[in-house]
Amino acid sequence: MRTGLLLILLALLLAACAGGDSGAGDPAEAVERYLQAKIAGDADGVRALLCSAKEADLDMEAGSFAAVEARLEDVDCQRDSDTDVVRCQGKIVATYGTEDLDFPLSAYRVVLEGGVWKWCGEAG
Amino acid sequence: MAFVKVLLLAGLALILAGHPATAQETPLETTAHRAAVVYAGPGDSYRQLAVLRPGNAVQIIERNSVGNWLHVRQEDRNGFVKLDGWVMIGYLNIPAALRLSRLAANTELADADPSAVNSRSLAALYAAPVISPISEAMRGVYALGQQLGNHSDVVTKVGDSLTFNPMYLEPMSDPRYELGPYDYLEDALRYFGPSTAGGSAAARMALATYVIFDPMWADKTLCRPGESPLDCEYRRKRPGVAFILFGPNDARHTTREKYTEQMGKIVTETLNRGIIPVLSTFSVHPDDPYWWQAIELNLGLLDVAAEYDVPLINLWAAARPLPDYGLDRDKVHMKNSGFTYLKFSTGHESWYGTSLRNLLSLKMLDEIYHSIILEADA
Repeated sequence: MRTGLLLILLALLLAACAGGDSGAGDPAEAVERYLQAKIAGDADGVRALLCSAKEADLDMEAGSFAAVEARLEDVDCQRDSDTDVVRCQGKIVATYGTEDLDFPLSAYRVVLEGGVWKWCGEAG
Repeated sequence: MAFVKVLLLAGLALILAGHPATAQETPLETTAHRAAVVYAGPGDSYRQLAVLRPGNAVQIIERNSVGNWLHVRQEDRNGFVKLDGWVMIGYLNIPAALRLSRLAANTELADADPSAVNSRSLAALYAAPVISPISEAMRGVYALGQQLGNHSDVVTKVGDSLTFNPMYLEPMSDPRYELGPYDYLEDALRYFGPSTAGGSAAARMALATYVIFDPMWADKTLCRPGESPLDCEYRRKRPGVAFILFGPNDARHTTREKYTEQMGKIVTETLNRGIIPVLSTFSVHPDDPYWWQAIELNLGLLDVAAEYDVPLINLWAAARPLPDYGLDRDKVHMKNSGFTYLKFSTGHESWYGTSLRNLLSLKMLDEIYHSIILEADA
């Protein structure tokens, strides 16, 4: 009985130690979803994944690609070990008239807010 | 006493003799090289008086402040005036001897006659001068810029593809320039011209008023992480003057309220850095499905210029009499002359939107140079 209780406690401890963001999902995936929402002009999607420090930029973020048709190409985002930086490869391609404009992706800061990873601007 | 009179008369004679040095001694004659509409004033909103046929000689009487409209007159053998009105310079064979610095500028006539325009919106837009006066407030901005280490002789550009166009502003850096009759612009061209080479990090295709603050649109080879195109350009160049034009993209998805709010932010950011912002209305083709929205944004821009007391070029009004409103076949972008250097010797500014915009921008720089920079330096 005592051994069983200890095992349960140990399991709970291990679960807790596995990281506070275990239910928050993958920060790299959050960045990819954010980029997708941004180029689509999906204001709700952008709002859901934009950190509170950038709330004032919501209109700009959601309207940034409104004048063009944009898509993501060859996107691969990875978190820099346990840092708050997600580094992305690939690019946004925006079609304006008959021309394609390339926007190479870079490194972005992420923060955990309300148990959800959120995009928080470019990383310096 | 008689000696004093002689001295006074001699002095008066000297003054009178000296005066013509700043004015054309005798009116120059010229002809139109193609049929030219003669207007009652220097703008297409004025009443059309007649058509000047090619080959018919006229005298050049005076010019508008820029010099792209000339007041011409034709008399018969008996001295009766047959024709008296204004023509765009590009329709005339420009005499080699014509120097606009020596031709009187008519500052009484406005650039347009809004009373002749039957749309209130268009009349309001016409009412703004093509080149606004430089306000006293800009002296303070210039002084702030000097304190912050800005370069008074550096000019940059901020905007969408109309402004990104390498044929806008950048030709001022080419030493092969041909000012033609616009000799009075040479000082400003020599002062600011070299700084226009190399484009701008804040001018890019598809840019809109929102996007100029978005770091994702910044050129990563020039700008720092997290830096917006506007911040990046102002940090890199530390300019004294910035030409700003947004609208053609905004008209497709932005309301007038949002546009003026964003333009206000851009102007505020520019003023806070001690940079003189020069705003510009934009040309729009009546066939454009967003015509009225574009007119609304242009009117909003007049409000922004008035609110912040900043210089404004009314490119919309100035481009109206040009073929296709100065626009290219896509009816959005301004038409280029094909020359990569400034060429005002053959009247391109009456035919090509980009040439006209370059001329008006240089004229505005001339105003800033003489009314602010030279005065401050003195």
